[in-house]
Amino acid sequence: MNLIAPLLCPERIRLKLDASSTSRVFEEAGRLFANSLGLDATQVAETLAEREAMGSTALGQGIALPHARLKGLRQAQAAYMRLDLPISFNAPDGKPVADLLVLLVPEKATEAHLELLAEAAQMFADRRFREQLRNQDDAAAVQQAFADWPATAQ
Amino acid sequence: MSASSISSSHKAGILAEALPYIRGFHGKTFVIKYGGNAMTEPALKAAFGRDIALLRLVGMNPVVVHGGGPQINELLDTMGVEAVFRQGMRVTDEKTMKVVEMVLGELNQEIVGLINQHGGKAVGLNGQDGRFIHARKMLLPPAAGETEPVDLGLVGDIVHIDADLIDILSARGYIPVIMPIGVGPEGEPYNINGDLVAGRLAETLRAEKLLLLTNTPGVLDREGRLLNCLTAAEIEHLCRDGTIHGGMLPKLEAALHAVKHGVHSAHVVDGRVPNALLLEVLTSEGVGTTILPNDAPRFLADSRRYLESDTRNLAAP
Repeated sequence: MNLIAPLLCPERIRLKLDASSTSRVFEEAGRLFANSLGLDATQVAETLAEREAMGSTALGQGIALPHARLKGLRQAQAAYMRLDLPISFNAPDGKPVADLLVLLVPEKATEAHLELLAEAAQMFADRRFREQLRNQDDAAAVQQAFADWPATAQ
Repeated sequence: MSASSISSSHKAGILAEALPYIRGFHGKTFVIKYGGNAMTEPALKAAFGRDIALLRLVGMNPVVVHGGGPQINELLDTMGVEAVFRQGMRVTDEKTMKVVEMVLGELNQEIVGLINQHGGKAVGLNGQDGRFIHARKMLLPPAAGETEPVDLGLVGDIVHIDADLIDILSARGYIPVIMPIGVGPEGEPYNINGDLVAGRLAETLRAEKLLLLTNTPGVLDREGRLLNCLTAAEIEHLCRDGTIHGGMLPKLEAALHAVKHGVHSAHVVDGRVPNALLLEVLTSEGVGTTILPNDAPRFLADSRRYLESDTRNLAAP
């Protein structure tokens, strides 16, 4: 188990998403968090865009980790989205992004939240995990793939 | 996977998936080092020619630099001349230089032919053409326990690469195929390591990527496991502690030079994988090791800055 899996749930896992730009992706993330946690969709999208403006959250290999602080949020929450077609994300390797793990953390973010991001980055740096994840086509299986790391890692 | 073993709908799916990559890399320059070892298998050679032609046809600017190590050794062997290497670099006397020029010239035309067969417009060049690769005699630092610099004969260092000729050719739709021979101040030819030419060329052309094709899976750790993604600093560490050695050294030196001078990423690609180039450029997962500049994975530094910034712009839930 790891720090990320408990923050996800199948209703915040969205596969086969048709979104043609980062703003569309962030809007969709807002909707996911709104439907499952009652957060304000527009504000989630705006804070994600605000963080993105400080530097791309793309990691390379088609992965991005958009994240934001949200006032009033009590504990970190995550959503996972997979796009039908990858979109440009200013990634270090120049490649477009199709897999996104979105993290929301409380306004008063601490070192623990940075660790969360570091662990997520480490997860996605593991090629076997990326492959495992991309091979799953339903939310429950994706949730399981997250739960299985790092046991699946080399 | 051969093209005939997959269904038409699957092929259409693959093409559709490649579109975002094609769009993202349109008009970008890719310098590709085609190694002597990665070009021994006929089927792989044909696929290489097709991949290069295809990258050009979908709007990218491939520039090929090739070596010829194994083929040069083979001919020297037949002639009874022994190949001598110091620090991964070939020692080149005048007799060896004749062989180098002959073998490289032949390989150059072969690669040009392979690309042209698939609809590309390849042009063979060596650094003396338009004097575009300026070189001087290379002296390596003394080996351990020695005081004299290592003299490699007619082996050259790159002084300067003039991008003009390559830019003109690329702009008109031609694919430059370059053999690594440079020209000295007196017009004398120098044998230059192909990896280093590729690295410098990638810098000069402000390339998007430098792709180094090899006959290994990529950069390996001490246990022989493939390392997917490394920063320049991590590569330097692996070179210092001896994990990386031999022929991989000039490749990584070239990769480091490129990413430290504006090239976005360098890739050591397993040239034995069919369509390695297409997989590397047009899919999310490459087929080897990606090398990024030290400041590329800025993700965590930016996140720290963000998480520590003041809260005045934060939205309420």
